Amino acid sequence: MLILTTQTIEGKKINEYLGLVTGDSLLGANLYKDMFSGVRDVVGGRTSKYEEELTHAREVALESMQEKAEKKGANAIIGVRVAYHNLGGTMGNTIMVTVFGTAVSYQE
Amino acid sequence: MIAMISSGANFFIEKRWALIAISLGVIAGFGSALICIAWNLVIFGFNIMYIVSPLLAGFIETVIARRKYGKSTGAISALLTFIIINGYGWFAPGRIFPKEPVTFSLITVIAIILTIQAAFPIFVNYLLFVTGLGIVRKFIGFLIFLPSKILKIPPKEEVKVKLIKPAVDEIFLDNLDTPLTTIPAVKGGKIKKYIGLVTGEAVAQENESEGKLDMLTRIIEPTPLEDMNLGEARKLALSRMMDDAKSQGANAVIEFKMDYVSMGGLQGSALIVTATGTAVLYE
Repeated sequence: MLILTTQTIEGKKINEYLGLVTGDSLLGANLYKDMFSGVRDVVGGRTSKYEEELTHAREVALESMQEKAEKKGANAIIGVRVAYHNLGGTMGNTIMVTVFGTAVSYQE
Repeated sequence: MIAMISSGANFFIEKRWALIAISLGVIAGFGSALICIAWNLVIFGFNIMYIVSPLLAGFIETVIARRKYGKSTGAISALLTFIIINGYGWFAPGRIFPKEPVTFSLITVIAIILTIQAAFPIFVNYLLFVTGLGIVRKFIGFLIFLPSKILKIPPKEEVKVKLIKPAVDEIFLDNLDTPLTTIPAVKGGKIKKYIGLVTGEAVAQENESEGKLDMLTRIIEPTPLEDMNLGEARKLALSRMMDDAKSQGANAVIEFKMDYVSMGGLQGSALIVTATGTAVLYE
């Protein structure tokens, strides 16, 4: 499936617009993870844990969006936006990853 | 006037079980304190009433309030008992019963923390877990970098991220037929093939490895922007995105967008840097 941030597919004809598709996932940056990443911080490494989790969260969101588009019979999603939100919290932060786009079917 | 009185009366009627629960809690706490003093229940030179009475008061109050009032009243009686007992123990010993005054010890501190925790659970948990652990973390970090500070050893280089040298984005940016753009299309060029969404993320953090003395002041002061490895994180996010695009056979990325999201907050500041774009094969 073609996932694009562009508004159109250049040189291709869009047969049908199938509507909005979305996907989201939550990433709990909780206290314990914070603590461990803190330890890594102290010894001089990077907080790769967060980055891995973030990538995973984005993949989950994209997958769920793709599934919905496939159910609608689309072969491409255009105008995709990926947004990251901080939901806050006292003990640690929750990061929400949302993706949304327009499912279309185009002439291949 | 009458309305005010009746609304006042209504208030008391509505809250009667809460008030009864609180007063019963205070009575129970106070009674247990009297028993503790009268029977001289002392462990390690410390009367157990300082721990037992507020907890008992809070327990009784909560049980009654849950049964009759429907919700918790916040262990007000525990706090009241705590204040009364400690006021008596610290400042007025021997007025009622001849007793030694309370001294500041580990047990007293634990008792005080326990009681305040019972009265304000969220506030104290926040203090203990977020602030306390944060301070401990900063302190351990400070201790670890103290030897290098004293011996004037230059701080250890940041662990290099596993990337092909020179950085992927540099090679890739040079070899691009059409540059990375933030606009949908490049004039005069033709998109041969759309490859798809490419993304890259990186976390920018405070540089803690420098071992500065003023690191300790960070506990109360906000981190200045130059102390974040923002440039590095941006480069890393970009590299990851470019890596992704290149591995799929793209020669350009269009509609490129960069976004920053704050993360961490209470435990320390961190920023997520994200890069998103559409990988294409340009002609």
